[in-house]
Amino acid sequence: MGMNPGIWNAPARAIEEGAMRRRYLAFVYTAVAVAALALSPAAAQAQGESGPRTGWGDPDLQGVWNNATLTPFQRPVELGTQEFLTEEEAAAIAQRNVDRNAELWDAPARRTEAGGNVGAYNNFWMERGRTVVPTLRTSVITDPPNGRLPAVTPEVERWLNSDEAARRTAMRRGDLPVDTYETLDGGDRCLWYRGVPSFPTGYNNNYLIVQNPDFVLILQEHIHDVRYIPLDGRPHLPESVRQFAGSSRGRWEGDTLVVETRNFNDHAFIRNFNADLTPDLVVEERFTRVADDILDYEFTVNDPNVWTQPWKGSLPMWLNSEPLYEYACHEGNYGLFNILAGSRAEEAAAAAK
Amino acid sequence: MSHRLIGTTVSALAMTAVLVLLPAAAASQSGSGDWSAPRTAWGDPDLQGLWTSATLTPLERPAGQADRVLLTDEEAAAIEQESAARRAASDGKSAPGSVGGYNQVWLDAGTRIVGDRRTSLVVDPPEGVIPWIPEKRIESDRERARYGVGPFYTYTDLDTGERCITDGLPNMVPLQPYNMNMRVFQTPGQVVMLHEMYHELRVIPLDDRPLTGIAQWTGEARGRWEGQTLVVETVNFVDKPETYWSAPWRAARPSLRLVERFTRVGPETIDYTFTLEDPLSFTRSWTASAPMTTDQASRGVTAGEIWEYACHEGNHAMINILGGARVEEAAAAAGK
Repeated sequence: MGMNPGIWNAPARAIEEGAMRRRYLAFVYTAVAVAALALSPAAAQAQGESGPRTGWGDPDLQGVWNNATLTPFQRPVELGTQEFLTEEEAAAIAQRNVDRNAELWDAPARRTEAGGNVGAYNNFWMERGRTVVPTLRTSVITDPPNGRLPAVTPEVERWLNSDEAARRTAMRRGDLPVDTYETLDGGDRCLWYRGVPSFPTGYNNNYLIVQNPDFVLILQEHIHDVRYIPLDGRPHLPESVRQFAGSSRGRWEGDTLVVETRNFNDHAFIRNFNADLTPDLVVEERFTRVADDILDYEFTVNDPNVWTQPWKGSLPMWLNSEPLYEYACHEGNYGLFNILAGSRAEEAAAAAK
Repeated sequence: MSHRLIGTTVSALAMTAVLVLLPAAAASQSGSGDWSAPRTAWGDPDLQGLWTSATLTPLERPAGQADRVLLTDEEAAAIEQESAARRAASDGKSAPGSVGGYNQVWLDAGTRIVGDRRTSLVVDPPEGVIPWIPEKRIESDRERARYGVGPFYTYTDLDTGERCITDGLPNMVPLQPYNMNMRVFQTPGQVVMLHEMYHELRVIPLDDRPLTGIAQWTGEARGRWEGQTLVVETVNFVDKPETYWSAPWRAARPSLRLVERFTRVGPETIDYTFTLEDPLSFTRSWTASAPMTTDQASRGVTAGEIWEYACHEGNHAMINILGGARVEEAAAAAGK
């Protein structure tokens, strides 16, 4: 989304005026920019002057960005057609999060008995975000207009309702023994966690962007994995070369970096969606720096074998002033070993009965 | 697992070949003509591209060669020919009792001696060997002897590379017979190095921002330009003394300081040197020179991109190594 230079200068003031004010302003500017785009093609053409530029004239998206948010992936059904929160509703959600954190902070450590749930990280490790997205949208998904994933194809519907899907879900929840490490997903195995597009999870929601005239690199804090995206118009990889991060090719459209990714391997997934995606998956991502500290991130996901229509989302990221570090996934991590050993013990106990 | 075993074999072959050849030295560096170093659009020396440091030249000068600094052209050619012949002859075969390793289609070892025909990549000290403190050399030898031999009680008895974590820095040292490729990206203020092995990424700031002090496997790096040369200093390596490294000289440790220098000296060559300091390990700092090239064709390799590196996927070596070790223990216990 483009903005005129006058709008561009405003967020710096907003930062001094506090987070809530900043959110409000960011929302207004985005809305103004949308309006400008819609009203006047000339406004869109003029956007080349806005925002920080690299020395070679490209929009400068560099920095560490964080996409943790209190905004849900899909709009809660009870919100119906409500596309945006009010400022008051957004403030209430942020406050509930503050209260919840305080409550968890004060709560005594949970203990478990042998055979009970071993639990997970305590709240210190969690990074759920402090606010909803700056646009105040009620969901990350923007299209379909109900803010929810579209209908799946009949084949995927059958899969989602199958015993095997239920078994896999139960296994991943720890309700059933896990047969082998290959049943666990790429994240459990420290291979690949984020997917494309990347959605926030409980922690490590940071992305370092580095760019030069020919490439954009995105270092994902999670798994310390890197996507490098050529900008030089080269063709996609041959279809036979498939990767976790697929084959990405980028281009500039005004202030927006547009990245098309295909050639995903057979681990392609959308977080919290219990079906594998297929070799036909294509994702388009659009990165636009709409303020000093806000990187708008919009995407379109199209896998015709999974969904009956493409769907879109919007998940602006905040600038994070801290550096990224290495990500220790395996080190000190006995999770996989213990899951499999525990599963064998459960099987042995069941067999003994 | 097997990759290092093969690496050891290749190095041993190279050393053996050097040992049997007679001394006679002559130095020549290919002339640079009227080539001028490329610059990025913002005026920095341009190091970008896909580079490899694969070579037949060993890191340390083979024992008994203390006075041999350079090979002759004939000696270098003979080593290269012998190496090629051995690779061809060994393809698909393994020693009796060994499960073997990859065949040649998977390997991308160096096929050439470095251009100036040095007998070692170590250029300082002049003897071409790592100046270990004597007791540290003994420790290093003991650690290296474990590689591929064991004992394998647990997964930490395998080295960081076998565990798919890292081989440590510097990583452009031709110790592996494959994946010795690195893509360099530059932008004003940062240099990014993506190493094929482990898909390992370094983002190196070029400003003088303060160090965070956070220790990492690949430390904390700061770069700067000195004329045509990119100088990268790395400190703040992790302190995990119990961790096993098959190349102990580059084991991450807090006392280590690494200084790397990258200078583009030709269209297809980066002069890459690294200096390691560690007063707890070495009697003095030492420096090695491992030229990097983009000239893939001369190695019979097609130039391409860097792909993702699948270290864990389909890799059952850890299970099999530990499982095999338990079987051996059971067999030994039953036999007694």
